[in-house]
Amino acid sequence: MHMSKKLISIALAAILTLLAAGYAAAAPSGYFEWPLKSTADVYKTWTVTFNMPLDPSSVNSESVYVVDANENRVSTKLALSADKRAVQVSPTGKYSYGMRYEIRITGKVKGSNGKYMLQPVALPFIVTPSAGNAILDVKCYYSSFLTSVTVTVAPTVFRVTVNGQDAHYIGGDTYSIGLTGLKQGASVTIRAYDQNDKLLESRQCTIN
Amino acid sequence: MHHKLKRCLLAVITTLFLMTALCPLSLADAAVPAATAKIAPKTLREADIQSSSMSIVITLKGAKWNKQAVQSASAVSALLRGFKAQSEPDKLKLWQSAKPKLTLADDYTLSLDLPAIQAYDIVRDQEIQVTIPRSLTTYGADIDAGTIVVCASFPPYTIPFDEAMRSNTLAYWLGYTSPDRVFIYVPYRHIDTITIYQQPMAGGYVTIIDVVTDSETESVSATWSNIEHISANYAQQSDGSRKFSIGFAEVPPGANVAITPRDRYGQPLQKEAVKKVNTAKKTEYKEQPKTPIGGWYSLYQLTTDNKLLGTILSYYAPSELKAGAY
Repeated sequence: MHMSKKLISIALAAILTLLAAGYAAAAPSGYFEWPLKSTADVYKTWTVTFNMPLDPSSVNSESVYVVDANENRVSTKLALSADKRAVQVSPTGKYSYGMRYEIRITGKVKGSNGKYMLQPVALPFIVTPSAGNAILDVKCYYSSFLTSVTVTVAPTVFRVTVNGQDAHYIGGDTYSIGLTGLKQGASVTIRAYDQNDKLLESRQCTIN
Repeated sequence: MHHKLKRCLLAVITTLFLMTALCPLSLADAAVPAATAKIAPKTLREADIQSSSMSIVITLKGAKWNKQAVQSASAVSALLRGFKAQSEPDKLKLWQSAKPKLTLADDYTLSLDLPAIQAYDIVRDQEIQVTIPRSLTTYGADIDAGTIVVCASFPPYTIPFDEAMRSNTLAYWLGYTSPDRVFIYVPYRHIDTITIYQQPMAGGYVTIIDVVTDSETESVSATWSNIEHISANYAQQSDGSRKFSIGFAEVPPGANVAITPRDRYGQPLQKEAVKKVNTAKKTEYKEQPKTPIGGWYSLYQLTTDNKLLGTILSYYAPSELKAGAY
């Protein structure tokens, strides 16, 4: 019982060092999936920290690896920290913009106490064009009757407002709203928020 | 005393005879046949009511119109009080203010003559339940006359509203027809609210989706990544709505789930509602106001009633609307 608790705690204590976000593709069955992270760095090195030192021999490309959204493995380099509590995962090439990836930590990872992880973990992330770039695209269509604003966002976005009004989620990380009373040349303010309602990005857009 | 005894014996014998002989036990009036009322026509068109005068003929059977009552000044009001609209009751009030007239053709046939009512613009088919008040007939009770359906006007074909804007089609339509003949269609919704909860549990995430619908919805499906869960069990709410609950053990944080209300045959009642699952907090989405707003609206209505347009846009994305003209 005591041993099981320890093994589970290794898995649950893995911590990614970047900001938390939202969406991920489905991890394989049996994996505990962490919230999505995002990065603008196509050479991003992720650091996975554990709650106890690891057995260096258990940290290899079979126990810690990266897959893309199509389940293709991505070539990576692994490096164990001096205290053996953190694994750095770096791509040997470039990650692709807009692509979702997952770092998979399998049950083959072993603690320095000789016990294996019971709960595999999937750590999803997305590579977006620039850091903090939550708003990816904005389209405005003006008519004298109403102005339609469509906003495409990063998967980390859970709410979009346009001039303070909540836009409607229409799927595919896209939000849309119709506004009345705007004139050509007027500007609208678009705000994107994360799952905790924290403002990720604000942008002005001119109606043409 | 002797005579008294004889009378008493006679009474006993008579009683015994009556108990064994065939005789009527009670006397009542013969059953009165139920009165009926027939309305013609039973189907009207919104455009006809707007553009020309018309008559609705009510024919009684098993009862007569009360001639004196029908010719009184309050007869029209009394008759129209028995007209109950299932939707947009305010629009039906325009019939009253248009000052229609009653014409008694004979004891059984009454005609309600409506002038053209240009302001009568309904957004969806209007079903009117008609009850003839007892005060206008010789029958001692109200008479159920069935329903009249007024079919709402709508254009023969539509295009997505945002496409109509982008392609300047809206402006083109306004160039050859009037704003009351250019229509925006707001799709009917059968879902009132969607509430999504997600909690980490047992090495994964448990997601609960509560969906409150109207009484037409017999089941609700929720789909994530080709996995569909359907619930046909619901909790009846005090206001007549139905609450369905669907659970998932597979849905990851931030995933899109598509929710569809279905009829008794399992067919979708509306376009799916797509929602993004938020792990951080319970999220409630109100899908429509208390009074549903689905239907056809003329551009004239929407332009002159900015509040109405604002309400529509607070619940619908422009891409969900359609536009047409005739």
